[in-house]
Amino acid sequence: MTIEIARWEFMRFFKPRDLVVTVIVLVASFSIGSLAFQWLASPDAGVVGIAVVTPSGTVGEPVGEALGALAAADEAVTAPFRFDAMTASDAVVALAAGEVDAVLRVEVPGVVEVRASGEPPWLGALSEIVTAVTVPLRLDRLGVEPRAVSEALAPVPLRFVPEGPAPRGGGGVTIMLVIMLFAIFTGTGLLFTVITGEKALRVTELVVSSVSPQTWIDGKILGTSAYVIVYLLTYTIGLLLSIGALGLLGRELPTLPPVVTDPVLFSVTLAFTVLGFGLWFTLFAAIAATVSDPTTSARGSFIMLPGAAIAIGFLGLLGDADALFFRIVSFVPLTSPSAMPVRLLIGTVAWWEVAIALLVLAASLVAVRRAAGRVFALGILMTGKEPTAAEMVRWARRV
Amino acid sequence: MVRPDERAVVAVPPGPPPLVRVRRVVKRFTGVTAVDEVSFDVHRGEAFALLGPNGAGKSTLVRMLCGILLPDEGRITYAIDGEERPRVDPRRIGYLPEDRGLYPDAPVLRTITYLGTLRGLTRDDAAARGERWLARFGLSDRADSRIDSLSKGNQQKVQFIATVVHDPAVAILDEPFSGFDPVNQDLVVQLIRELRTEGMTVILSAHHMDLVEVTADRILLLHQGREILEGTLGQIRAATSAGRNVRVTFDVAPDLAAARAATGAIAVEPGAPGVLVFEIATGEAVGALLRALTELATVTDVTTAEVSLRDLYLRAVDDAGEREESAMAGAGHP
Repeated sequence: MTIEIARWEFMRFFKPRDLVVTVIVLVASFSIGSLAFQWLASPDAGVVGIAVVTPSGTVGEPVGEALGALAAADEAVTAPFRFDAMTASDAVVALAAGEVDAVLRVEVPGVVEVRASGEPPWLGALSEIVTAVTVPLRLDRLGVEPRAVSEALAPVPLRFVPEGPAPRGGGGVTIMLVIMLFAIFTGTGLLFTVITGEKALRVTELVVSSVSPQTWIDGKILGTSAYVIVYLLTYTIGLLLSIGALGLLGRELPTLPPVVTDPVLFSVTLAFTVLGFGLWFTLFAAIAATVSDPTTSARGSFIMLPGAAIAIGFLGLLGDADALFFRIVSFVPLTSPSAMPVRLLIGTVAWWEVAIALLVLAASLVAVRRAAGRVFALGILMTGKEPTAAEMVRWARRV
Repeated sequence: MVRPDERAVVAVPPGPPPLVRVRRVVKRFTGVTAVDEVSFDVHRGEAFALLGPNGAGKSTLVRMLCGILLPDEGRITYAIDGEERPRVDPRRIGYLPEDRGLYPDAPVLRTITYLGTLRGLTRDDAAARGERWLARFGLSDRADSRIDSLSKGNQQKVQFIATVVHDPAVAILDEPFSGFDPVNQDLVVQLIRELRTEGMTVILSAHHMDLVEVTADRILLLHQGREILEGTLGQIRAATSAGRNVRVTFDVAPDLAAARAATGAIAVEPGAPGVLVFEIATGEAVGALLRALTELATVTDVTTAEVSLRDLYLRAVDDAGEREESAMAGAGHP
């Protein structure tokens, strides 16, 4: 019966055509985005036209001479800028007509005035190119050999010698975080919608008269979890196809994170994820069952809780993943689904720690399933007043 | 009339136990006793109605019959296979809740199939039965339609199919007539009759007394959670001393008090303009009444009918209220 309910819940949301469209949109978005990036990065794209006004009074002044040199230089050297020498009046006309993006002039020796509309994003790049041409002129004027200056200012090289085993790398952790948050929000959101919706649709009594509330909540969680997995797989397939598309476009392919390539790490992470999501989905189904009107109930905000707990597990990325705090949260059932995989990826974990954390998580799921079933059984038939937290705890403890 | 709990004490009737036996059932919610010591039996193949106004405790009783709620006191047993059991097998009952609803975006046949599997059918069997029922109601061409694309009457048919698709021994219908126009109410009456012809036991709760009157074999009248009368319509009529209504149309209607004094009727009520409705004892001749009335005014038309269930119910509630008041007065309450 649980399987029938799980199948129904799954099929309510599973729309193969929508998933195929999702993959196509994902691949198309990536490809178009990549092509756009390539186009923007190409030499022809986004050329900034600069009119250079060099009055005769600045000849012999390094900055003025640099601008003159830039105006005479080949466009390939000055990319993405194209410098054209103009008279002051021609430059003003060209700027007004939009033929150039800016006008450069030296009114005060050593200072370049830039006239342009708005605040151009390329000001830093412009400063770099003007400085690069000006510095050798300044050194020449000071009688300093440029090579001597380069040698004096050359950075001291540091050679890194790794000590002990190489870290497993956290390249995939960010992807894991995004996927887990995505999955937990999708799952809890679906459960909230489904359960409060069924109360509103008045199908609750019909189902509860046929099967036990425990069977119903079990089926719902299984069905929702299955849909979330398919949803995530769809996105994963879409991402992989997008990466393939990048390869076809000649872009460098990213390396797969160890959580995907290492079978042990993959299995352990999967076990934590499945049990952890089961735990959160079970708790959330019980909470959703007590909601009388989803449009006014403050309990809708509880949807943030699973995401917050998952995020706590990922805080290990910011500091030492093996610090006492993260060792503790990697054993707490509500946070261990993310904290322990993070420690496995970027920290040092003994096998027995993983085993204990998994056992604690599994045992919690079993206990919470029964308690949540009791809350669900009473909450799902209630309308009007929502039960208080104390009432829910009392129901959960009822044998 | 013998009450079921009294019957259990006085004599145990031979033969199989009743299909449903309800004994001194009590259900309380915070500060409210929704059902108070209610007892009744439902026999195989009959249509049994729980009758009462809103708040009488009908739906609570129905939910206990379905196993959705458990009684705080008393017991409910089912003897579907001949042996009395304290819990009902959900596969053997069909339930049409008062708060009706289906998944609006789901296809018709898939919904019926799913609800059938929840009642113990295999998916294939549920689908095959669902198709048969849809054909019976002329809805075969809507099997793949979304529920919310159907008219309200057709949605009601689908809901009804979902209640009986697994061929239950007992169909429990909570307020099956509520929320429908007369055409659809007639449809429900017709559906209940069809279930009866197939040998299904039907328990229904309602406050539409006229519809219950034409649907049920036996009736339990409830008021404020308590049973006030139980039996066939005839037994209830006898218990409430109800007679027949004689509807008399006059050229010009006589004075109400004068008409009552002249005829000695149990009750007289004004009807439409020029019409008076007299209640006379069952067996009393209408001729005597008419003879008395022709001396008061010119009679142009006469029709007779049994006292309606609605009137019986109101009278029973009044009697129960009076009994309660006397009991409280006797106990020294103000």
